[in-house]
Amino acid sequence: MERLSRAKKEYMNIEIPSELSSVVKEAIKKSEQKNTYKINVFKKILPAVSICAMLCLVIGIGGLWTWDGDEVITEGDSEPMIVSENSRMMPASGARTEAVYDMSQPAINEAVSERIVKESEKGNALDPVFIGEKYASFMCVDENGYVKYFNFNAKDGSDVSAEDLGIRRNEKFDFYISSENSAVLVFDGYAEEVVFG
Amino acid sequence: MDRKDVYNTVIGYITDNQDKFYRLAYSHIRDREASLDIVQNAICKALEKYGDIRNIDSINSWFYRVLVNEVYTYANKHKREISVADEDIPVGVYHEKAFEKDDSINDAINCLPEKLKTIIILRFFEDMTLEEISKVTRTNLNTVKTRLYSALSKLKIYYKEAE
Repeated sequence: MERLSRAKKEYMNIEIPSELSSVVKEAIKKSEQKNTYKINVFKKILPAVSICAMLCLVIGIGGLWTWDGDEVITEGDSEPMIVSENSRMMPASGARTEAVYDMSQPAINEAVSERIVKESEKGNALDPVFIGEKYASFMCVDENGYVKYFNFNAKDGSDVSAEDLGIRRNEKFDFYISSENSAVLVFDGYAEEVVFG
Repeated sequence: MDRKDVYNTVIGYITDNQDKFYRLAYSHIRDREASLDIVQNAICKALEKYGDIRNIDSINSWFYRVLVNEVYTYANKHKREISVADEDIPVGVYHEKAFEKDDSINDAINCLPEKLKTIIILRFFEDMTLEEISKVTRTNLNTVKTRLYSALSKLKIYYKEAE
């Protein structure tokens, strides 16, 4: 123990370098600078992050607000179809405004797609009116501003005539398919819905 | 006590006890420049992590823990360094006068393994209690006691052999 107490005296007599205080000051200064930098970076990043968060929130709420609200409607006994409330169809005079197939829900098979392409090459830019399991109905507006309807077999893309559907009338009319078992006949000035067969 | 108060307390503690920190580092490493570096690094690390202090009263053991870890890190890094022969040491190199007077006891302590050396220094030179040493070295109190006993036994053997 005596030796240890002597060793302690020696330990306490270790010469303290004059630079020690400056070294300590430098270390404190370095740490302060580091802390200040951290705080500054945080202060710079925080507003940017909160602005981004706010933007995301606004965009999200805006998106929900303007969302069309896809809904499922059924017509008669037909299969439910996904439609949009936004009608992009130009209704013929007096024709019933019909729900329009939402293009964001692809349900057109290849054959029908090919028909659409062919018609567009002819200058008929088709807009979908109704896409069902059996039939697909499209419309376009010609150069003179008249609405033309195109009705295709939904499986092979072939033409579907009014006669094929069992619609027999003497008057001249245009028609489009509005559901799996009904079509809307558009006469000059008014429209009428008929059931197939 | 808010964060700023804790920071100021830590700064005050460091400034007041810087000599003790240097002594502890020097007694382990026996190199003036390296000891200054160790003290500087320990202060930087402590000020980086001062938010970890749960109880300001335990600042002493907390800072010593940082310092001792820094000493160990340095010692481990330089373990494999080849020691330079006396004749290769340039003239004017720093020698600690205190250790040159009578280096027998300090030589004996210096021969101890790092962990035992730390316990001897903290217990007899820094006058820490065994509980404090246990906190500083993050070891169980019984381990501290065992190491202290082992260190003292080794010192006794050293002196017996010397006599």
